[in-house]
Amino acid sequence: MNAFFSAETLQICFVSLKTSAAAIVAASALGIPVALWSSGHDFAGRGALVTAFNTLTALPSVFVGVLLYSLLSRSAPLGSLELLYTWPAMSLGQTILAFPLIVSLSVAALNRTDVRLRKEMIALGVGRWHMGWILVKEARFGVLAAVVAAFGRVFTEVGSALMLGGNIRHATRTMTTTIAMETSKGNFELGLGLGFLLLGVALAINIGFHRLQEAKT
Amino acid sequence: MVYRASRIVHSFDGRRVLDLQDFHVPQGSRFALIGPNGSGKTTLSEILVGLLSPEAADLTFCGQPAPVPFTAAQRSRLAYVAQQPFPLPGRVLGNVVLAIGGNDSRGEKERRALDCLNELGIGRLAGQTERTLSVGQLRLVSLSRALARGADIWVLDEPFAFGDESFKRSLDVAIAKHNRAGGTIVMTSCRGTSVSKWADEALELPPGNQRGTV
Repeated sequence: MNAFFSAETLQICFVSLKTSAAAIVAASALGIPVALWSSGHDFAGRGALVTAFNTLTALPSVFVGVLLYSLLSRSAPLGSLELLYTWPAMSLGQTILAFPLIVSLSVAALNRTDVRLRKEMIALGVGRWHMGWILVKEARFGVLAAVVAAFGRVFTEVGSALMLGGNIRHATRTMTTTIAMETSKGNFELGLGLGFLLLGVALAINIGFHRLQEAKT
Repeated sequence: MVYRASRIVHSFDGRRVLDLQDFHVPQGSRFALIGPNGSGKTTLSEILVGLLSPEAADLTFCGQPAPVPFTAAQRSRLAYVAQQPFPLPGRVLGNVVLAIGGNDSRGEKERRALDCLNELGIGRLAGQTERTLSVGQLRLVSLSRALARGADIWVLDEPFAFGDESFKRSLDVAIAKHNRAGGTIVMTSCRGTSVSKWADEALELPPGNQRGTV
């Protein structure tokens, strides 16, 4: 039990939150504009693009891990960045996992907004960025649900975090990589405890998002 | 000419809803589009403000080709009041401010927006959210955005439908003032008698897929 209630556990939680939060901010900053663009334009291949994003929501995290590992390892094209086995590398992997989920669910949410709103704004001559902001506000529940779902996916993933972070103590050890490690060592109690802690943190964050949605109603 | 086209054609799901020939709207005119429900009035209105790409047309707007969407310069000359305007999120005053371009300060834009709301007798609605307004009030807010934009060409889709007497008076006054100042107004109506005394030109749109005539 002493191992569970320790400064190290807090640090592990902090690394998990920092990595996932950075990934969600990056994936939202990229994904929501892409969703706005995809939902607001009729172009050849739009259906194929949306299908591609829908398919990528099932992207295996170990595949993302292998892919980035092959790009970030010392002799690889991006090896000079020395990102491998750092938290930004883990965050990059999680961004790739979260991005299609945010795009896919945000497109669905934006497509549900009333077409008359878009027409009203076009007729008003509202600028592109301002229009995008209003549409996101209009579809905020769906967009926020997309962000929450993406957070759930990256916060609990272990494959890419393990491959890109290396589970280095006091540096890249996250809650999920610790659970995997402790379980493999036979420390089931600690593994389970951390699992419940992970769920507790995820629950707290979801309650926070829910409050945010209610406050904006 | 504000609008000129030798032909405008549009269909929905293979059903032809609009097939016009020799369509033209002179500068400074009060132009009425009259026809029963389903005759393509709203479709034509949306084409005229660049919200809908027609199936086939050689439409020009103020002597220039009319792309979809219109260019920013073309759009700055246009104001559109939809049959059922969609309430924008937020408060009325802020949404009228949205319609005002230029680099004036926010305070200056708010003063101008409030003037436009007062001109239509709805200054009291400035602090309300648009979602709380009736259809008639929304129309007036939409029209106040048209005033605020300073657009010289107004396209109004069934503006007199659903409104009470006070609403109609406000609208009449605003339209007359705009027209006296040289503005062009294109207005749709399914009741020919109510707009025939108002319009100086009218186009009757036949029901369904027959051809319209000026």
